[in-house]
Amino acid sequence: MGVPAFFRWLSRKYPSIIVNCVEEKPKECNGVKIPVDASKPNPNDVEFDNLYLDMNGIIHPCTHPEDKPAPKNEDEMMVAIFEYIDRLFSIVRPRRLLYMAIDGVAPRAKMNQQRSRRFRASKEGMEAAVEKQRVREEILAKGGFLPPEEIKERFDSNCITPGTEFMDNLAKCLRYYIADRLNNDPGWKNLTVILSDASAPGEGEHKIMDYIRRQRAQPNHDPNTHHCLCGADADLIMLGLATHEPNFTIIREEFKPNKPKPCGLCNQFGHEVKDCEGLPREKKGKHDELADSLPCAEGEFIFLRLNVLREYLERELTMASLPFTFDVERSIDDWVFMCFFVGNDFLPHLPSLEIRENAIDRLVNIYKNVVHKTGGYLTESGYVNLQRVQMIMLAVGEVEDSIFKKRKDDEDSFRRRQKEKRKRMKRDQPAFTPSGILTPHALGSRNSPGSQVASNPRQAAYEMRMQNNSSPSISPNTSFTSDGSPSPLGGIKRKAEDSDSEPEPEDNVRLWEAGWKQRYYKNKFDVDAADEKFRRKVVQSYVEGLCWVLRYYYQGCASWKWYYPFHYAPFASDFEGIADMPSDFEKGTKPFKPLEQLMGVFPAASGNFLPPSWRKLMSDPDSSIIDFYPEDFAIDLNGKKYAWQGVALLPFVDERRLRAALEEVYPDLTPEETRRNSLGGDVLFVGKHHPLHDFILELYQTGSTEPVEVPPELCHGIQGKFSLDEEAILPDQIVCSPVPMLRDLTQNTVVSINFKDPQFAEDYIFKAVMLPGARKPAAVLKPSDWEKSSNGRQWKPQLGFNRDRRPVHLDQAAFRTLGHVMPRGSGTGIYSNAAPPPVTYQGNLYRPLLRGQAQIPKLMSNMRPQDSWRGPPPLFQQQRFDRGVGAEPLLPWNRMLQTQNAAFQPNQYQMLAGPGGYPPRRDDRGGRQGYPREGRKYPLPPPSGRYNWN
Amino acid sequence: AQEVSEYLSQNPRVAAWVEALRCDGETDKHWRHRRDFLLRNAGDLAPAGGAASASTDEAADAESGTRNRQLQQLISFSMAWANHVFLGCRYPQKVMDKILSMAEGIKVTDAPTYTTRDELVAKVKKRGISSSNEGVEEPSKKRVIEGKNSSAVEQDHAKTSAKTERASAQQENSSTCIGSAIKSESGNSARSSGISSQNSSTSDGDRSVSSQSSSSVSSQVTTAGSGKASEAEAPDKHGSASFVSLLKSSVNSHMTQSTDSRQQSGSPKKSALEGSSASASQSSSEIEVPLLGSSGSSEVELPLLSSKPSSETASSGLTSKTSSEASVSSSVAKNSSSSGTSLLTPKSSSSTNTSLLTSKSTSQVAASLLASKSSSQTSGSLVSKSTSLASVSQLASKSSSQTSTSQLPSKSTSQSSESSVKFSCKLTNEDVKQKQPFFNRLYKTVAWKLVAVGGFSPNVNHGELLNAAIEALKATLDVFFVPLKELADLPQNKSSQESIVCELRCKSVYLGTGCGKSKENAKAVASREALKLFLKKKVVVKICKRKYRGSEIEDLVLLDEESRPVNLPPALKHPQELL
Repeated sequence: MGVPAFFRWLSRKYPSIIVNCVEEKPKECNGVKIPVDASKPNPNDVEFDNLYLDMNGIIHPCTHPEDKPAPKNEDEMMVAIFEYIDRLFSIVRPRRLLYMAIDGVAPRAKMNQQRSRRFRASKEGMEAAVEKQRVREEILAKGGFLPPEEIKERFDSNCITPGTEFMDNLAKCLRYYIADRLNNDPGWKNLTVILSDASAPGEGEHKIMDYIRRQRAQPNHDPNTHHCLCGADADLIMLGLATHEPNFTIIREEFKPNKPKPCGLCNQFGHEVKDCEGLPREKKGKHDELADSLPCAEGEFIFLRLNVLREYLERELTMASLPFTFDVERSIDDWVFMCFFVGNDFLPHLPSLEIRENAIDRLVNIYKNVVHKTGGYLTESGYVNLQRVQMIMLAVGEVEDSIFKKRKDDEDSFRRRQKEKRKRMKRDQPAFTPSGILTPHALGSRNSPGSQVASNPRQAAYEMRMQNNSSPSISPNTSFTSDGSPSPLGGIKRKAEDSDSEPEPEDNVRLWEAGWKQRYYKNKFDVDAADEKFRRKVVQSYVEGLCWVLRYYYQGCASWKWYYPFHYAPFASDFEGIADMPSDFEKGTKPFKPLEQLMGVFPAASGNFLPPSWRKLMSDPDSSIIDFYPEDFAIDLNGKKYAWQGVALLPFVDERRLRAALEEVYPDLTPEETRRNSLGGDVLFVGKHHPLHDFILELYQTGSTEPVEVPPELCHGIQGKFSLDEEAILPDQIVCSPVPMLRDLTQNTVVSINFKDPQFAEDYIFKAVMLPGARKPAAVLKPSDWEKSSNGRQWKPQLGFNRDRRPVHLDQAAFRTLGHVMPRGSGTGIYSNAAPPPVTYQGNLYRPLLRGQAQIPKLMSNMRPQDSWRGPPPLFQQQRFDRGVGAEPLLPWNRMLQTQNAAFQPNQYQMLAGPGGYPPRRDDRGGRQGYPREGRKYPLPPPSGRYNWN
Repeated sequence: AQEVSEYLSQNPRVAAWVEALRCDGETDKHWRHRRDFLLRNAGDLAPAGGAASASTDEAADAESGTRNRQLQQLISFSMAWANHVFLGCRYPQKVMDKILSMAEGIKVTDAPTYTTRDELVAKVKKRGISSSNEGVEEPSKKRVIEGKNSSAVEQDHAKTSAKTERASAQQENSSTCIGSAIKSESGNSARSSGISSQNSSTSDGDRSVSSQSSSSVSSQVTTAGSGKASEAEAPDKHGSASFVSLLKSSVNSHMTQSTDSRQQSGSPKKSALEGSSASASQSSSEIEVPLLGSSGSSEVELPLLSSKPSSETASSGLTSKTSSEASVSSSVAKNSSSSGTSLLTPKSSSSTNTSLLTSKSTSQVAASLLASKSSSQTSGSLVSKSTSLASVSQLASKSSSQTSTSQLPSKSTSQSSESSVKFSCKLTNEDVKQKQPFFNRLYKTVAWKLVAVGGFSPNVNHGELLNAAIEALKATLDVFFVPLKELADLPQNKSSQESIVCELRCKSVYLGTGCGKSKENAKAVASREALKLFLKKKVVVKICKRKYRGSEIEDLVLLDEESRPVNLPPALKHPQELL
């Protein structure tokens, strides 16, 4: 979703939803890389069932990374993608299903955004290349050295669009990758893998949602499946909430601002292309062995726990004395709906609602005020009640004016502060130094003549008062107005002053001044304010859009054709009389074919991804769709600062005309291109240990042409239809490697088959409710009545997935070692004199804790004798580290120790579940779910200092 | 537009046909224009008039294939044109040529203007920020020419529209000045303020022409004949448009006119131009008093220039140019806050320095006067002096002569010939400090202008650009010409060909020198040299030694931060003469 600030806002407001990932890194031993064994228990104290990958979030950073040198060719990109997936896999360790979804052709509503991104990307890429070339020549002319220019073409990120050869190749590579891992990786042994490549229509995340939605709607679905969805888009949060699955976690790369970027020319860090001087690289380490270790090379991952967010939302949205029954699930749906006002990929956001100005909080408050009157919720299972929405919108409309005024005030005061700051920075002395008696004096110079002021305090005070009175009259401001000259000139004067610093953008709309609505419509839509009909049309389209978007999230794509035909949104106050607006969509619409979509979203400069005769339509002056492909287009910054934040004023594509023009060139397609242009489906892969393996082999042997139902009992309750795949990967057939540097799979046991989601009638409505049998995960937030119910115990916040996650400890052997290396008692340490707490206390503290954990797989519990907990080691830890001394460098070390231990430990989970896996799981889950409640029984919470360790 | 709707109401079939081509979400206005475009170019694609029988349908069916293709193409062109005009898109040149020729005759009033992405990014580049997503501190100007400016705007191509945008921006600025001027001085200032606004608002190279157009506007009031004379120069394409705007005699008539006449100024039809301008100015009233009061400060500044037209015709070859310079210089608005305050502050300096510059050429009158609010009798004298056609540059202010230098508008060319008043005062750092802020701003303005034309390159009109930048800051570019042989201190190696030397100054600070065969050439070279100063990170005003008539003098010189003031060309005029 196009709201970059949404995640930041969310994670600040609801901090507990974030959990940092514990990641086990592959180790290297004598130059041999030992991959992580993902069949071991998850180091994050949680087991996930399904992992869904929104592949576009992986492809982009792997093909054109921002924080490291770009891969040299397509093969390297593929390998980078494989490694990235491996890394995610080792963190999440799904036990049942891995679903990979690459963006297919998107609904028409998304095309405008895709277009504007690709038009910009094409231009940016071109500019970067020109700039590089220029600097390169300059450096070479000056005699500098640069690594020889790669022969390969500039990677046009626009090729990451369904229908291109690159995407086709990527699908092939991923098939190979899946087969390889299913054959060789123990973590993948029992996994079902579904690959939905770019030929399957729909955006990646929505394909995933569709899958979840359809599985939920069939009776065999396990309502307690733990989903983990990978992707950075904000709309994944919405989608996750929209599923109403109790266990839903999102994993994403942690965003770290200001990461160093390597120079595009010499691949060194520390400067940009324009500053490149072609200097030789400095040696990293003695023998340049650290050359590849980039500063803060890899981004860390974080989990975003939606069940915690649901807890927060429940708390925030709960309203007393409602005229109707309160339902958390419904109010969460309403919350999701309101977030769409603030921004989504398909509609421009309302001018008055800006996420950075706490628009969502404002909406929630209005919502809570209004909902008493509305008599019900705004939405139901993705359908909008327009009458109620109108009440909300008009309530927002009432405050719109003040929002704009406040925005202007804030902006002005910000600018003023900035200006003053700049001034301050220029000057050496402070802006104001008190004079008279308050004159500052250097310490120790008491006897200087300046300190005599105390001699006549009254006189001094009087002088200072007078000084203050007279000073304003000297200030230059008054001179402008003294003769009553008209104020506009004063404005110009000030502007002239300002222009010395920064030229300010001209804002013709001036939302803060009266008449803003007229100006907005005049400037943005180029219509007169009196044109009520047009305004109505805009509102109508926007309302349709809201309905479409919500339906898209809850029910799937309502219409592949619908789109919002304007570049700007109307005002909230314009949403009058929307209750009776039609909000139904044309049924039976079809998505674009991949190549058609390419024609719709690419600029002429990216035409090389298309067949020649198609390409010609983009540039030929006689083309009948030439108007879709402007060379340059206007950008309206719309109050924003940066070009990429502005609105690209691109013409909309007329689907009918596009199709009509393409009809003529369709015969020019080669068979290969025709294949690429066809819509495909999902492919399911299983290894030889999977119960489905034999079933699928059987299908291939009988060669049935009819689609066959998936037996849900063989596959964790997944339902759908199998149909034979002509290009299937079959056991005992060699899987050729599409990447030269990877070997072919000669001993393949993996089988693949086409998979189709369960189908429902067209007017079927997927219910947005929690499924019966679903158990809510244990609460994470501090209960609001904790003070009353806790009997004075201290609240212990939960920082990981597991409430009872124990701090890391060292065992006796470790302390012996430490004691040997760091002589204790010699008085060198600064805290060595502190008295240790009594030993008995420690014993009391730890024993019950152990009992609570005995039944679950737990770190190191099997490794050490229980007595060890009573010994001095914890003392050491508490004393020496908890005070923060040395905690910083020790942290990574401790973490590593912990993960190592986890790796050594026999797999208790496996022992419980067994290879068959499925039925015993429930018991196991029950045990897992149970213990947090036991955890409350701890007699004594650990001393607060211990929290540093979690 | 009216005929179109009439026609459609008479031909419902055509109306239905064309209405089917309307897009979802197209505004009435855009549709009206695009419909115009479609109908003009439809040819036989549109169904014949309402009376037509079914036979046309059959005929259409027969060749529906090609017709359909033609129709699609027409729709595409209409969309491209509409996107260009209303959305700010730019297409490949061939397409642009095609659609603009197809759109000939369609008047789009009140079209929005945009900054395209390329322009936006170029601005960023210029400012040394790496890539487009690193940031534009200056967001685009998306301007809409307000409804009151109902002049026809023919959008030639993106660049023109950008120019128009700038021009109108300035115009707005200046119009506020006019308003205040009218407020303070009633009566005859009304008309002249209109002129001055035009001068100050027209951008760069249109200067010469704008003066022409301005005079023709004023002449419109008195004699219709001269108005026609000037109008006859306009190409047919724009003829009607400019005519309408002329008739309206609206302030913004210069927008079309300036574009037209820029094209002319490049063409060799100079004599015609001169003729028209001469006749225009002749027909206008004897004395034009452009009045610009910067009422932001308490002062009333009255740069006053009255030019006798006959003298302009007399000065050979360059009539339009000189006249323009004269009129441009007349419209100097000393709006900069620095100057305003500088006049205010020096109460302490008791030395009242009244300088009187009398030019010996009686043909031309340039009276510039700086009167502080208190000295009312000087303003009276101004009036009398200007009527008596004496060339008077009078400076009456309490401030010292140094401070007042910045206030002085420049002189017209004739005045530069001989005026030898000796000055004894020395340049001080005070002067430097005073000028510096102006040139900081000028630096920015120039940078933007350079960006708008795609960076510094030989095919940019440097003179225009520099002048436009300076005028945008309400100052004047002063140009002096001296035959090369009169310059004693110059190495005489290429004297044979390049015979004229040109020196550029602004606010009495030296910018650059150039020589060439003609005055134009020399000026172009000089402006190029001057512009080069603005390519570095910063410009500074310094006091440097220069040669003047064999002796060393001190002068205020604009330098870029790196360059050392070595080997400056000799001064053409004594700097202090200009004060």
